[in-house]
Amino acid sequence: MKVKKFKKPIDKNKEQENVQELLFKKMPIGCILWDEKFRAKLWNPAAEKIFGYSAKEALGKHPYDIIVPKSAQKQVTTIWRRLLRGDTSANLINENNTKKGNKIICSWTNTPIKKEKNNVIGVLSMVKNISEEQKNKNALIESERRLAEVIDFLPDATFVLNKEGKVIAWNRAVEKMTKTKAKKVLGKGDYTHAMPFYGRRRPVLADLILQPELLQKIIQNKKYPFIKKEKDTLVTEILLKNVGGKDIFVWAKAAPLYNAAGKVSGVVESVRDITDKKKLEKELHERANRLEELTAKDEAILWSLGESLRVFDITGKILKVNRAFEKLTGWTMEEVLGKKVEEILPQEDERGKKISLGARNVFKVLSGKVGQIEISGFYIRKDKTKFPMSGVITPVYLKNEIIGAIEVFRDITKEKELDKAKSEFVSLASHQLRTPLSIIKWTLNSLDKQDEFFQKNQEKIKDVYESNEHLIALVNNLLNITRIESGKIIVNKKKVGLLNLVKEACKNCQKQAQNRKQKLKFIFEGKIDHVFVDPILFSEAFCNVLGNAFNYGLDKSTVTVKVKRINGDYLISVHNFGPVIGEQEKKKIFTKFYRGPASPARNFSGSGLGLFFTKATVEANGGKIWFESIKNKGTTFYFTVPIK
Amino acid sequence: MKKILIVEDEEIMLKALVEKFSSEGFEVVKAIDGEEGLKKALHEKPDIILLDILLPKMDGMAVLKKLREDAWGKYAKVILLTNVSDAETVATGAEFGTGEGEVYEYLVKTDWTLDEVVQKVKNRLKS
Repeated sequence: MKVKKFKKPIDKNKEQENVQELLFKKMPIGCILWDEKFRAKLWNPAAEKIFGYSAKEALGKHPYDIIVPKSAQKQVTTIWRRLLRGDTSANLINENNTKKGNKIICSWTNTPIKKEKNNVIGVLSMVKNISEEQKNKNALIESERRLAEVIDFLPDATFVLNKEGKVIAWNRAVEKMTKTKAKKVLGKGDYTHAMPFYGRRRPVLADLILQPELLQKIIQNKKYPFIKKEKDTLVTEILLKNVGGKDIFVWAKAAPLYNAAGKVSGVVESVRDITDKKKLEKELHERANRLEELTAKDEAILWSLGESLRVFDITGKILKVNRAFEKLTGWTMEEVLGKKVEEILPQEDERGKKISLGARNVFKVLSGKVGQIEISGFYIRKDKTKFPMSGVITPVYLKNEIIGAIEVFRDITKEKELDKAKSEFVSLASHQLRTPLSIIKWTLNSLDKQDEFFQKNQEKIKDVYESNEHLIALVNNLLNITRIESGKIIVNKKKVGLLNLVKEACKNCQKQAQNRKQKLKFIFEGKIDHVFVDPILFSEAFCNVLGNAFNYGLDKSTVTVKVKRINGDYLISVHNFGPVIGEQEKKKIFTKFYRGPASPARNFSGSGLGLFFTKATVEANGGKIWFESIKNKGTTFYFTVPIK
Repeated sequence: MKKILIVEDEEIMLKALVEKFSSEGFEVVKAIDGEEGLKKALHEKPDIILLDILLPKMDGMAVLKKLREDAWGKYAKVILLTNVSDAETVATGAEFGTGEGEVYEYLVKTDWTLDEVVQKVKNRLKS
């Protein structure tokens, strides 16, 4: 500058110009002077900085050639024309290009420069690069938009207020709850958002976050005790009348939204319809009250019940036992409470084998796979002694769901003893009966067949002999039954040819067939091989069924024996034509001492033990037995024999 | 001639058996209780013994046990006669039948006719 001073003397005008130039140069915002032909006449350093073009490069250039992109030219042209026509100023924000080809957002303030008679000789443009500001603003809008989007999908009815209390988000769920569309409330303030909930304009929970003084007042005067403050959020449960057409009980929570500077920039409030939950709670409460009353009564009853009782929860833990349980097992209520089923009363089966946890009936019941289940076997007391028991386990339901199980059982030692005594008596009596029976048999055997008396009374002697044989059979059956009942039935399984076994057994029965001119027919399907059974028991069982078929079959009718292989078993069926087995009989037919009412065979007198014994032996051999009886089609007894 | 010892306390039964086996050509020795049966068995050394289980003074099982302790008795042929067909009784019997000694058979009286008993005895003597 000093150099300049000495070079050129400065006049007043010049000085003024210099000040202007200095100002122009030091201006922090871009200053561009356009001539009337819209060519750059002045281009200050700030403009250089904004656009990257130096004054030298820019001067004399039309803005369209350097900084105005094609997309903005139409708009710029319009403004240019308006300014030439006499508009005093025009502001605009548009996109511009820099020398490097970057796009920037600029804010322009344009003022026409006039000489006398409104003759516009140029336009002065002040320009500011506002890209950063714009970006921030866009980012804010974007984040608000995203927030609204996220909120839109929230399952809870949710809305957002900005700092001014205007609605900036109103999601689908709140639309559904209040039957008020977002567009009716969005952007509106003055408690518009309260209308759908309260029917009038008033502060809601969210507004209290924005108005701390109001919140303070409310908390102090305790008018709204149901509003709870949790850190910076507010929570409440309240009954709202006529929201979207109905009264609902809601849970609501309002939380402030913070901006990057940590200042509250808005508030979000979620409203959840808890009407059903409240109803359920109320119902549960009432039920609990009622239960308490009932329980007192039940408890007294259960406690004094004669049978032992144990209540389990769903995990198999003991919840309750009664006095009979305590007395029988030696365990007290305190000792067993909360204990797992396997810890108290280990269970053994009839043979003294421990029953493993998985097989325990309680779990079967709790799993819901079976309904009520009958249990038997032995329980081991606290003092390690055991007792036979019998009982049931029943699931406990609440609203169709199993929540536990009740076991009721009793000590059946006395019954067992009685039953054993009975069995022993029958056994003993039967053995005693055998002695005279064998004497009669052998004495009759020893009669001299050449003797005149014998010759004369042959028929009568034969009758006596046969009656005796019948008695012997009866005693044998009785003994068999006591053996079945006392578990003494001995099964000697052997590998035997099924075909021979069946044929041999049939031979023994055929005498009966001949008496009444009945026929026996065999059908063997496929290859009949070996089975693994007790041959004696099998023959007895089979003969019982076949004997019945003949005895109950009609004169001259045919009895058909069919053997075929089904999966792992042989299925043996015995069919006859005879009276139908009635519905009443069906249930009793396999029970002991039951005899069918209609026997066409004249001299037939059964013991009523045949099928009872047969069922037991078939099952002891691992098979099953059942029958069908259809009018005009006859009766078929089926039983299976396992191959292995 | 084969010698048979029949130990049976029921007189009528004994009579029927004695008559039958006599007529079948056996030399028959009889005893009416366990003690007598054991004594006669060791003294007479019969070819075969028909031994009832339920006997006064000493039951059939005890007789069998004593018999198996004797050098001769250990291998004596015995058929038990019984009215008991329960597992336990038979199992006890099985103890005396195993080991070195002669095995025994048992017959439930009511299941067999006299002819069948004779046949059984004859078969046993052949073995």
